[in-house]
Amino acid sequence: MTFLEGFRLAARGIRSNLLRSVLTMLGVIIGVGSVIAMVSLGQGASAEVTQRIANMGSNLLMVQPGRAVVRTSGGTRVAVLTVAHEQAIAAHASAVAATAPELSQTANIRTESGSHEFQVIGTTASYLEIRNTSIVSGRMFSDEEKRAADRVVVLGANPAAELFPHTDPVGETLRINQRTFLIIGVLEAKGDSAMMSADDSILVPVTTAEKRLFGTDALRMINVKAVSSDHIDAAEAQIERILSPMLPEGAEIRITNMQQMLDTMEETSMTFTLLLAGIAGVSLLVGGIGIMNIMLVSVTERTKEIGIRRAIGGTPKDILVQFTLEAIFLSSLGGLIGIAAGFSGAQLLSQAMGWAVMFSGSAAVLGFGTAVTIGLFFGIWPASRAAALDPILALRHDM
Amino acid sequence: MSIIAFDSVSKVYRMGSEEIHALRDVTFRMAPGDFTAIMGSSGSGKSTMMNIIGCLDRPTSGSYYFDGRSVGTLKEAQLAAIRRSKIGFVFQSFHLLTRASALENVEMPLVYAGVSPKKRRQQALAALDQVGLADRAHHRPYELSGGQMQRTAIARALVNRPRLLLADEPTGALDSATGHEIMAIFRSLHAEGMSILLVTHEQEIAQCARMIVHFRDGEITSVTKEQREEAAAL
Repeated sequence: MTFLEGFRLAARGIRSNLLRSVLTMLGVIIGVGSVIAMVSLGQGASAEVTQRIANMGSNLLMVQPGRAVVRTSGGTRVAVLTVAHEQAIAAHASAVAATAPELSQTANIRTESGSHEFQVIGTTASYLEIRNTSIVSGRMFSDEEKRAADRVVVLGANPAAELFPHTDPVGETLRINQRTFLIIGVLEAKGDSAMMSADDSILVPVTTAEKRLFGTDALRMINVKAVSSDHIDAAEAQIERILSPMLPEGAEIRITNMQQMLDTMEETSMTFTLLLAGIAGVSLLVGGIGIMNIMLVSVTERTKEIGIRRAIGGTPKDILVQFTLEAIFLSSLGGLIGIAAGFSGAQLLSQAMGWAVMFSGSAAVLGFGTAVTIGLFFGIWPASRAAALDPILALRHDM
Repeated sequence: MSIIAFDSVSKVYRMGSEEIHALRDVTFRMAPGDFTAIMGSSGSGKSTMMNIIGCLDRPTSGSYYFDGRSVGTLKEAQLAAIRRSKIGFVFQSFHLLTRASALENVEMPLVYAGVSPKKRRQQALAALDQVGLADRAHHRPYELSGGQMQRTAIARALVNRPRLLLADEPTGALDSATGHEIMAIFRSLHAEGMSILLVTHEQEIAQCARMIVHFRDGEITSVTKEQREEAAAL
């Protein structure tokens, strides 16, 4: 008997008991489907994060205080990181190309259209260079405005669109925490609705944030751009050396670079992927056992058919091939349905939740391959039981 | 050369500690083109005899030659090849696959013989035509009468042009009128030169054969040859 004949027989066997076949496939469908959906969503998310970090540049470092403010032994409260620290780094670290302070808080923004909450970042003009962004309309604040702590703001793309949907915001005013500010510029849209994205922020001169808005000089972080990505370690060491004598006692700082963040992200997403693979593996195992169970029932039910086939000249191998192919047919059909279900499920989820999704051909191939293997692995035992039946006894079987 | 040659064949089954001698030292010959009936009550060993002749079972001792070939030493796949190409089976309860049409049932031996689908269809239709069922080719077994089912089974047995037709109580599940129709088919096949071996417990059916072999307790008790043959010889 040829392989093709075996396949036709298997297809007929499945068709003749369609409902049971579909129920049997369900385990594999769910298993493969969830693998595909999870891989698509996982890869989409990790690609987005990687892209975002890469956008910011891999030669970026962030200096953050352990706590923004510490209490000295004298009892006074002192900011850990201030503009003075930022300027010291800019002046003395040779591996550093640029620095920008960030003194940020969420603030209430009021315009004619109503009240909103946005992150207000006190910084300097070098923020643009470090965050790899630029002004699309108007201008960045000048050194003069910074010195004078003028009440001027530059809007990120999202606040600009939200607060002034129909007009150019440059030249308009808005109120931050009840104080009126003049809008002098708008940032370009980076399109990455990410954490730490400049898109969602409102920029003011750092002096303005200190004196007119938040009443503190404690920075949330100092952004540092190394000369190149090869200078990151050197920059880190220099920052450490410059800052440590300047820090108040008991204060700690943390220096993170983008490469480290990238590594952490990848590690996290790997752990996540392994966890999902484990869950998917269990569901595929259950699906496989389901197929084995049904194949065993099927062999018992069709004992007489097996006897007839043997009597008219089918060899044990023919029977083995027929039943194994039937199991493989079931599982691979389940695999194909699972792949389709997984992809459409991921698509639906991404549309409903706004998650990034990435379809990978290798995941589909892997899912299908796993399904076929499961059919073979769990089908071979029932099939060999069928092949081993004594034709005389099988013919006598009542059913 | 005989198509069937049994030389002191014995078959012993073991049921727990007990040994059951299904066949004791049976020696038997059947010439090609013969029509032989094996008679005996249930438990006489005629079914075991039938299974060994049909290459479904192997003797415990002694030797069995089918069409000049020793069967005792053959492997399962080789036995299947003999069944596939040289023997046609007809069973008491028809043994048709209920999910397949009459035509597909008849085609089945050809599937295992590796015949191409197109040729298979032609041969199966010819075999159905031979038993007068060409117009029922696409009916399922449950849409056929008992006689039609048995004729389908005969077509299936004939489709690979076997050397021997082996029928186990072929009329046992049929009323006597239908039984006679089936026996008429066997007689005409015999007239065309087919070797037929029939197992039955009905005297009337056995009378159709030219030679009747009586079985009892695993042994041949008597062999009756038809008188007509002798009359013709005179």
